[in-house]
Amino acid sequence: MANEDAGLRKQPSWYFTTAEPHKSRNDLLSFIKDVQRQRNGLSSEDIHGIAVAWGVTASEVYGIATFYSYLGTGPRARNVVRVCKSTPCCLKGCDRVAAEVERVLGIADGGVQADGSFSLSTVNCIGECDRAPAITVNEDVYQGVAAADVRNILSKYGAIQGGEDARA
Amino acid sequence: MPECRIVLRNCGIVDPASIESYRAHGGFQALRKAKQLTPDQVVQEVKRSGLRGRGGAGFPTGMKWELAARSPGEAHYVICNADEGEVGTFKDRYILQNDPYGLFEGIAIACHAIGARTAYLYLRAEYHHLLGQLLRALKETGDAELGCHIEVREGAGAYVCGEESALMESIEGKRGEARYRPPFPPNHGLWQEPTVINNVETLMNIVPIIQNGADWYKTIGSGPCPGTKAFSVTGDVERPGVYEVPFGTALAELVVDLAGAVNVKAVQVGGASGRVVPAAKLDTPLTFETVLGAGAVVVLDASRSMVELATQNVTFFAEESCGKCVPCREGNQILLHLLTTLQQRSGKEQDIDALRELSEVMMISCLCGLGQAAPNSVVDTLEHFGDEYYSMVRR
Repeated sequence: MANEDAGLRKQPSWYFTTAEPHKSRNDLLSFIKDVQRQRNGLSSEDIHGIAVAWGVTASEVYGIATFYSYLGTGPRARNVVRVCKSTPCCLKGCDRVAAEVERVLGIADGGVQADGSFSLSTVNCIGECDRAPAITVNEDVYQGVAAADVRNILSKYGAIQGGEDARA
Repeated sequence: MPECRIVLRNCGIVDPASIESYRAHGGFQALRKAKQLTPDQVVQEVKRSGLRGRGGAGFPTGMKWELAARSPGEAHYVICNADEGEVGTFKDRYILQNDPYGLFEGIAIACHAIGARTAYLYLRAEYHHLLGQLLRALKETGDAELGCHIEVREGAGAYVCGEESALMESIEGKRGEARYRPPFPPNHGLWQEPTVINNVETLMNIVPIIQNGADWYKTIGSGPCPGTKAFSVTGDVERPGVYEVPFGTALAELVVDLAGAVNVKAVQVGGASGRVVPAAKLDTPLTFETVLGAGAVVVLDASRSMVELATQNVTFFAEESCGKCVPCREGNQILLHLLTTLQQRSGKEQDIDALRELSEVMMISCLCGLGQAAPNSVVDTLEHFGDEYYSMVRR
């Protein structure tokens, strides 16, 4: 209880600014998604604040946030790069594409750039297999990606720093 | 055999951004016809058609509808399962992109049949890029035309949510963990109310069935599997894409004649949870009773390693297991460990025996379809390509 009181006192800013009033338990998942989007991540303070606002335990919010691959705890990069690694994309060379993203961004699978610009994760099938390999950047889908295309695609989302070129 | 387009009837013909285009091609006529029938007459027509669920399980759709319609509850719900997560499947995305109105019409007829006022379309997070178009099309159509309200719910990235009970948990805003069953959704589904949950492709069959009748529908396909199936064909083929063929079509016609596969070693049918068919059995007919799943078809040519294929599939399940039941949560990790050990050339023959034994245990003891089907590709590749495994044993 002491923790919940502390959470109430430090109501995070989103608590007051969300457009939707807190409706039913059914909207908790979509609400957590909204918070993650607005706050560029989910801090433990966010998780606690959501729990208080919705009258559920923090562990329940945490449980949801860690269950789904599009959610997660901690800060999120401004640009999220996902490289599909399922069989149809593998057969068409997704390993080479993933390696090139790693090289250009200077981060490994699961990594986030130090300045929070880009993150990279390899993910399971995203349903774009008719033109494999496929990657997504934020909500944009790119099909039939070759390693040579990677730099062009990523540079649409801002200056790329920290990669192999920068170190050279 | 050429393609036979029932489910994909409007794809490439109707402008998916124009309801007028849909109307001009006979849109909403089946819904009007259904509204002139009693809900039970609609249910009986679908039941008589022999339509079976296209998500992979092949459960008779009409029976599902009848159970839900007759089940007492404060409200009835229809859920359209657009959580197409099976590896190598994209036919539902193709439908959502190309014929949203046809899907809404099918959902509306289902609502009429079971007495539901609200339907949910559960869209996987990976298909967020379709959301804008879907919402525009829904707004344009309007509740009045449909006679029900369709709400789009987005997932948040979890393969297991394609499993119906996990999907309902997710709509309820929870972790998408499978429920113990029974009770089944037609009795106790969404918020414990009677619920019909159908795959996108299943619902796409409703309009033609109502329009042309069950007798017409039964003339297509093969015996216990009437109608057509949409397949997503990928891998080592010349022309990857979505192909719709009648049930009973030979696998070879699909992958060789239509998609242009050459030098085939094996075909995985049904995605990561699917069966692996060796080239020698390409004459296998595509039915629920042989191989099918949700219709993902991945072709592998002679250069591909079957142990690698099995490892990829098991890696997928080790990540996507929801963790609720032990045989799935732990079993997939151990399968992966055994396969990795073999790939590193440090495995023993007993490891291959262990793979077999553990696969059997998982198939009978996992809580839901995910875990039960997870070892499929291990079992099949061991049966048809056992030499590849034994050649990897440390000498």
